[in-house]
Amino acid sequence: MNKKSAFFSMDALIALFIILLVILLVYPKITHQKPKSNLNEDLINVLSSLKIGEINNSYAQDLISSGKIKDMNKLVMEQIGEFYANNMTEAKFLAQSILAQMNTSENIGIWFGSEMIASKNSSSYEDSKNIEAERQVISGIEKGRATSGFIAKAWLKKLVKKKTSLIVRGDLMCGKWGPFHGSEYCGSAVARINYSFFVPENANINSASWLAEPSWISQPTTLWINGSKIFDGQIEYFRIFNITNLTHPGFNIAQLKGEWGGEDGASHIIVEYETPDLQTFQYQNIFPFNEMTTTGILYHEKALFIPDPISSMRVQANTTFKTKLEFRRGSQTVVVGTKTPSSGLVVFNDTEIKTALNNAGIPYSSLNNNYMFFILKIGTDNQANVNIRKNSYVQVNTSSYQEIPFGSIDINQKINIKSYSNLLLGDSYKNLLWEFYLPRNSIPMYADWQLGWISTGASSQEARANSIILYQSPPSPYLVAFSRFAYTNQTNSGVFREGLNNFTLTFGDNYGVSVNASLGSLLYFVRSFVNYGEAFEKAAGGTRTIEFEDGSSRIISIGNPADSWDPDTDAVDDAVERLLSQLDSDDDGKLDLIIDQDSLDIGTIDISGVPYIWNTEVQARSWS
Amino acid sequence: MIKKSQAWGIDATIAVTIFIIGIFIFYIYSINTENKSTIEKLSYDGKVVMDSILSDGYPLNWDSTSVIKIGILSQNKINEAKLQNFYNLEYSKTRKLFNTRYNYYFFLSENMYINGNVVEGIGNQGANKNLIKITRFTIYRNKPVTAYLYIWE
Repeated sequence: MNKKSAFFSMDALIALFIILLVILLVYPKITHQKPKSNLNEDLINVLSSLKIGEINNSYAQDLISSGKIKDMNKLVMEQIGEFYANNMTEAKFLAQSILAQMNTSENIGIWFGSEMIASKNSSSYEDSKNIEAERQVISGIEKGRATSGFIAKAWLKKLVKKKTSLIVRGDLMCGKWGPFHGSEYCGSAVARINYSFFVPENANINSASWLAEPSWISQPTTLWINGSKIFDGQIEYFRIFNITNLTHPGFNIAQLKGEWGGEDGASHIIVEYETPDLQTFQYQNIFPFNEMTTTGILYHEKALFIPDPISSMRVQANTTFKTKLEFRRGSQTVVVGTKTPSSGLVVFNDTEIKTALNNAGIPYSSLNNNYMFFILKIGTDNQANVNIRKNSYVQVNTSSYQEIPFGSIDINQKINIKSYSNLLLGDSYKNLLWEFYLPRNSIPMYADWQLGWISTGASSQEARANSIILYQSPPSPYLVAFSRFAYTNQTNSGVFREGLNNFTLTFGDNYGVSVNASLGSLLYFVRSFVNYGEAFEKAAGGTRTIEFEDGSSRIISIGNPADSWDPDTDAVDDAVERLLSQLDSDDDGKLDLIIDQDSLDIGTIDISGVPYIWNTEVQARSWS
Repeated sequence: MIKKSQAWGIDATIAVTIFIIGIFIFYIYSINTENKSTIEKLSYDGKVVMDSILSDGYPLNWDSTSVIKIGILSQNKINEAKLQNFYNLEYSKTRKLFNTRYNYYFFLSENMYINGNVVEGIGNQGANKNLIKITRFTIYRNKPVTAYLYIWE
């Protein structure tokens, strides 16, 4: 029976334990949070409801009396903000004096941006465990920037004229193509070549020149422009002809007849012209072959530089002769195929080209941003009157393309050679340096070189842009014809930069490039506007003389002509100066773009009245 | 049989002890819960009353007859006409308008002036138990001031 009794006691103890456990578990664990304080919100309301001129605060009254506060209608928060931007000490004292008028045992502080400028606290913010904040953004305030005055922006609504260039690049074209000193080159055959080019109808042509470089040294050559003969004689290496008077807006035809051959790929025509159009750049996906007649095999190279990703390609030759298409990139040549004409056309479609290139390990995705060459070999050996006619072209479609950025002006200009050294032969040197300038806020599209090369044997080859190596042989293959080179921003970051840029070619003992027959060109966009800038005390304008690259100058008057031209204190003058500097393509203080005062539109804002350009977040924080 | 009777006696003692402990715990729990509930209600009512006082009220230009919601601000500043109207309202009516069964007392860190006389506060000054203080900032006579509300059972 003893055991039975003990058994009941044990039951009771276990029951007691269970009851206590249940009570402990069931008893609600309520954490009483401190109610949210309204003081942060109230503080922000107080500061943004009271005007500085009406606040009953002795420190504010002193600042008003001393003239440090001038605008009585500013809200207290705006006034503290103005001091925060320009005079932090006053901002802190004013905020602290206002906070001192408020009785509270809570810790509270005022932050402008990330900076606490006043506080009332019994424990430090750094030791806080619970923080509440109320935020408000005040416009027109940023530390270190003016809070009143004027800001201005400027833009070009039209041009009087823009100076730009049309560049027509030749290609290696000739007849009787065949073996030559272990490689292949032109044979001795009469060749007639037509170069067609279009000058915008509204263009005013300043100058036009034709650098003709025949296939052979001292080749007897005859040249015509629009039917007018300009030369008949031998050209030793190359010769530059002034064709300004014979070139006109619209379609033009330059003709070359060589008694021994055609041209060697370094020829080019440059037309420098002025146009009132802000934009002359056009997306191009058709790249025509030139018309040509010679004795077979007719050889015509087409060099293409495509900055955008290629999606499809097609080659069409308008000829009645059997045609072979080859593709070359760097030192690698791929035969796409040979076809006989059908209905007077030879067409290589996208599938045929893509398959041939893929089989050679050259996907389309690797083609953009590198020069590539399409080579037509037409006719058979010694076949007479082999020709390629109009409507022959390479079509390259891209999956995307660069449009002119909104509000931009495209500029296509020649890049001049800066220096050269280490003569190889004639005017060909082993070390060459080109320099060009990119204006502020400009967007470069590409820099492109057509090079008159000469080789006396294998040699090292190196191309650099702004010291960045773009091609280096070895280890890359030696290129017999280093005839073209181009790059874009996608080629390598840093190849373009605002201000001065350079491009260098360095060759070993047996290779050189002609300083006169080579041509560099640059396509870039300049922004035709500048946005709001710094704040200034006035926006009156004035009168300024603008000088242009052609030696002319114009006087422009904006706003009040009698006001002095002072970009350091006048928002309008500052905006115009910023715009002019953006349009100065070589930083010499002279513009290529001809403008007058009707070209300019200026927008100004009185930032004391419309303060929304920059802002600062104000916070009232409390903590415990 | 005697031993058996003793065994039941021990069981009964333990059972009574457990019962008493249970009753005690329940009592403590109820007292605390009730107290916390009152504080929460006071806090809630205090916040509602203070929010109402530091508002424009309704209608915007309310007076003692038109008042639906008591509020003494205009453009975030204490409107002295509204303050006077608030002061002149019967205390019982203000409690109804505030929809609270608790007592309150409203005052500022600065003296209030009504009809040129200094007024220390508005409401009932006789605080009893469970008093809650609500603190806010506002603007009185173009001066940043602290507004207080005491509310109690």
